[in-house]
Amino acid sequence: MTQRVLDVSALEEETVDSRSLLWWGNLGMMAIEGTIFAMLIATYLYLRMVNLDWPPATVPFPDLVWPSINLGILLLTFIPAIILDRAAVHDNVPLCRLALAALVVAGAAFFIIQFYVLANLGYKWSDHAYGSIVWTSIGYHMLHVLAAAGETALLFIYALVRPIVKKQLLDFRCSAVYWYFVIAMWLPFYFIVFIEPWLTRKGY
Amino acid sequence: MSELTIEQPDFARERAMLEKTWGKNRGLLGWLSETGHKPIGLRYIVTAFVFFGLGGLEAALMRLQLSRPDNHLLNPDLYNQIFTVHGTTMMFLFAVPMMLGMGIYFVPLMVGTRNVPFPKLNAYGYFVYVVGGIFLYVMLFLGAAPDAGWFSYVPLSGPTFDPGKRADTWAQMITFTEFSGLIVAVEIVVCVFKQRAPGMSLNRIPLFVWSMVMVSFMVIFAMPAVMLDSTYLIFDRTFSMHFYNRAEGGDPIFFQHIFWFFGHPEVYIIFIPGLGFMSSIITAFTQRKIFGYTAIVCTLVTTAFMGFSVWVHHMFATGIPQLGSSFFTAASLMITVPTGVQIFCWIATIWTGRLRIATPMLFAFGFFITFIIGGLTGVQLGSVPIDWQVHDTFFVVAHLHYVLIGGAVFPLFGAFHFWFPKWTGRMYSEALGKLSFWLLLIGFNVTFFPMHILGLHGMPRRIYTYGAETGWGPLNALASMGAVLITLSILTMLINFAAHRRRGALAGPNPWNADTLEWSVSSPPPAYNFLHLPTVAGPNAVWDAAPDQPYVTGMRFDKRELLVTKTLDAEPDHKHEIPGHSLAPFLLTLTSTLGLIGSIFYGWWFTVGMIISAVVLVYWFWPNREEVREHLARDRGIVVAEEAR
Amino acid sequence: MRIQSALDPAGPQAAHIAHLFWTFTWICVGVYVVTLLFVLVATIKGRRNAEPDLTKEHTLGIGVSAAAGVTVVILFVLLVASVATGSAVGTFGESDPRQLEVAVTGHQWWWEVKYPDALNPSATVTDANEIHIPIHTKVLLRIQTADVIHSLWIPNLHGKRDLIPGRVNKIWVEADQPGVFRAQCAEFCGLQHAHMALVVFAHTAEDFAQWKASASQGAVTPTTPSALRGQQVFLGAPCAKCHNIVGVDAYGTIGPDLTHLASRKTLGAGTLINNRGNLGGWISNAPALKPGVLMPPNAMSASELQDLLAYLETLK
Repeated sequence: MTQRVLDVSALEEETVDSRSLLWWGNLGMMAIEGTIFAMLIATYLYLRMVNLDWPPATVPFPDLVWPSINLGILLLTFIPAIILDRAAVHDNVPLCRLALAALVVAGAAFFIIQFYVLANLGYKWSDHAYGSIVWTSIGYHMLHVLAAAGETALLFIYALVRPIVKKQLLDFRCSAVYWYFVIAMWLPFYFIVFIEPWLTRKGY
Repeated sequence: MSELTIEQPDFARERAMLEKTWGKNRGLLGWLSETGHKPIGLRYIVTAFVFFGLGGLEAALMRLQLSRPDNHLLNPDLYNQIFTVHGTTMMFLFAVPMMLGMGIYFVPLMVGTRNVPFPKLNAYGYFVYVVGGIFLYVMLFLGAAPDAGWFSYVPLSGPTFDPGKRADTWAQMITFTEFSGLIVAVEIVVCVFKQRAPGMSLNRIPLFVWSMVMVSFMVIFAMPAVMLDSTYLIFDRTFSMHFYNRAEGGDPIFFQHIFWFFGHPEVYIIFIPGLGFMSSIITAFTQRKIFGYTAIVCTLVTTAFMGFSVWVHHMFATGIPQLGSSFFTAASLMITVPTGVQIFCWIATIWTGRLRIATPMLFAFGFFITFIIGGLTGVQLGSVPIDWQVHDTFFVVAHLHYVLIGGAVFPLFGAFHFWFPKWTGRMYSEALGKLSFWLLLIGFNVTFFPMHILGLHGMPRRIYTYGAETGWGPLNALASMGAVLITLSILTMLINFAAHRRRGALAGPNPWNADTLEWSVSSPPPAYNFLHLPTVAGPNAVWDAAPDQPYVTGMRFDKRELLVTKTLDAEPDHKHEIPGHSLAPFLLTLTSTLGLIGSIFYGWWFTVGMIISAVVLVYWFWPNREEVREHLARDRGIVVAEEAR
Repeated sequence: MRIQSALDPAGPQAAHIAHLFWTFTWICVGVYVVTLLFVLVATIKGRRNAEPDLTKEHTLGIGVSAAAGVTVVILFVLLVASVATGSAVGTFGESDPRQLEVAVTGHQWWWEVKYPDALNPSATVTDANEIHIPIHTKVLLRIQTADVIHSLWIPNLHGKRDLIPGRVNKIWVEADQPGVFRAQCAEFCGLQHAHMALVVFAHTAEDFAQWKASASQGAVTPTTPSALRGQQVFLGAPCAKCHNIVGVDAYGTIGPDLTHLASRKTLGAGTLINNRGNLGGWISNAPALKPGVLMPPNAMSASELQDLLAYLETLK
């Protein structure tokens, strides 16, 4: 007895690009986190709308030096992220290791400076709703930097001690895409926390 | 990849190999490390049903308390905890997990694949959900369950008016269940877009699967809102933040906005799968393709979008400006149109089909009889002036039960009977099935219809007692009697299932001659779902298959391999190996829930939980030596000598 | 007292809404009956079909489209009716200069009601759990809360409006016939949400003036010896720390004003009928009657209690 079949034995096993399941899963996770991020901004705008003074009068005008330096660090992080992405596509493992290391260093530097920035905001989360949303937003973003840096560090260690195959190359790319997301997410927060009070302070 | 004609292979040998690769592990550790979509899906269904029973028990206590005026069976503190836990259980621990569990079980089968894309994550989602549910009930038995209603408005649930850990319990339980919901949503979206059987282009996806896809998208955009809402609440309570404190620039109304931005889509998240069950059942019981497939898909998409634009109709009584509320009235009325179109399409299908009436179809009729009432009272509630009168009264209680029981539970029970033969390989008793249907239909209407009248006659919801002078006694007594019938109906169903699970008549693979792919495999389906992955020739995969419909060969039998196909036309694209059983999801559940539960008592537990979870995650992702060796050989052509094992 | 019912209107707004409700209801009943008739006919037809009939798809398409079209038209009609009623009811009273203002503050779990007098602030009348209004007058209720969210709902006069922390919401009501209406908090507000009722009295203009005049008076000085002793009991016991009585040394603001306690219909915001027995029980052990209430149990001798009751009964 014979049977018509669709033979897929010649198909590629695993891919390192947007066709893979992990890539889609990564997009899904970013969609969820991006929604939370959008809700944080909505929270800020809502609270701004219902308050006559915004930020409250006791909040000093933000210092721009360290936040801007930190923004610069984060934007520079784009470079190793892109390098990681491209190196993974071209299966250049040594370059991947280098880019992973650079991402970990940059992420850690950003995270530490961000602590300093938080400590010097001049108000606390429990002072007023403004403090609550600013601390929560920065904290939410820092958690993402921490997660991204932690994941990258793990990949880096793995890349030092074990051979790299397609599966890890895909991990590298997803990690790079996640870094793009983490970096991009900071821009609106930077704007509303550090720039907006200088431009359109309500109640003055 | 090419189409060939081959000699029939040795099925028995192939089956044995697949069974070895995909089969279960034994023992408790085997149970805890299970990652198959069917066991996980069934666990969701069974667990959610247990919570349905508990929620029902709480409902029975409430009906007992309200059955006569000035009743002192329950004290107000207990009553408030019970109605809060009832609502919370039914929404977060029964309805959503139940529907998502049905999706986790059936979507991979219906699209013709072997498992969900991220099986370990899927197992984690289930465990987190269970822990959330257990946490809530432990707190209930400790007498410290939440008591501010299932939507826990601030400031009643805030730090000033709800000291203790009650509201924190509610808020953290939300985090757990929404985690699990979000995980399932991503699993389903990726599964449907990337793993469909060759030939199942977008316009051939079964309607149930479409409904689960739309639900998953709604979950992805709605559930983060409620997670954030409850997290703000925890922050206000634990860290003295001021998101909802008017005195420090926050706003209690903001809680309501975010809550209902999630809360209204939540209703659709619960009953859109019900619409999917309806389409499945009606197709099988009329033996014709559904009328207006494209229209129904479009209405599902429209409903999912519009679901996000009506939330303010829960807040008309807060004093929303005229113009704004008119917009939300318009949206709330118009959202009935897409669902109406689906109902018309089903009527057209029944009209021209060869209708057979058995228990699943009876429950589908139950949907028409009850859900339409709920939809129409929904139209009334969408009107601002009418809402001002009936908002927060028993009219709303009646409305929401007509929508959720009519729109979700009737189709769900229909689905239980419909797929019972698939789950067990046996038929249930038709007589008992019909009995449980009639008991439910009558009991439900006797219980909930009088509540419309009670609400119009001034009975607010969430009161633990009322005086005789209000005149609400007789109708409440009637409603409480109806609850007895509902209980009998559910017991009848359970007895029916328990008695026939092993001893019913043999069902065979497709007792209803239904059309979707799960009916093409044995009952119950094997661990690997399909001996050979199927190919699909039309929207009703089983009916449209040619007598010699090709199947897929060239997948490995000794690896857990999935066939990844292209998003639009489901052309085979590549093969992907998924992980097998693992204990990591269970361990991660322990560490992450420890951190989250601990954090409502002492904030630093969150950090502890994060650190130990990070350790578990390393274990989760670290590949074993054998895997590395195989991948090296596959991707790099490097063969490493096998080490002594 | 009339049953609190949205379908038994005693004022123009409730009447508008009841009218709209019935319009919606009859149209919805029509839609329901027609839809279920179609289901029934489809069932009968479907049972008779020996084979599925796939030849009528075009006709079915027309049928479904027509049904969808009819649905849209009906919804549009309902939308117009709803918005028209909404603007009639919502803007009601806004431009009317002859209005009475009443300030209502929700507490867990009772209502504080004030009748501010702009010309003579000391003539402001403070009452609890009862609102008195004259008929044929648009009354502006300024509503706010002292704690959590409550909702003021007088179904026979109007729909509900929430009392929200940090805001003053406004709602106008008008009664077009004299009567006594029960009303209740509609937003869950904690342990005793069930016992947060109030009574609304709609008076004729003369009766209202009479009530206002009597309510503006301070408490009458007791005349009987028992009542006089009772007054001393009141002032000596913790009562005066929480309750206010105009005219004596009792300035508490935590609990309801008791200046005219004896003229009220209920105790504990609708928990009990106001009579001597209930009042005695309430004073002795209010938490037993309304668990969670702030008023503590008061231990006093039977004679003290009788004197106190005698005094409180004079507070008409």
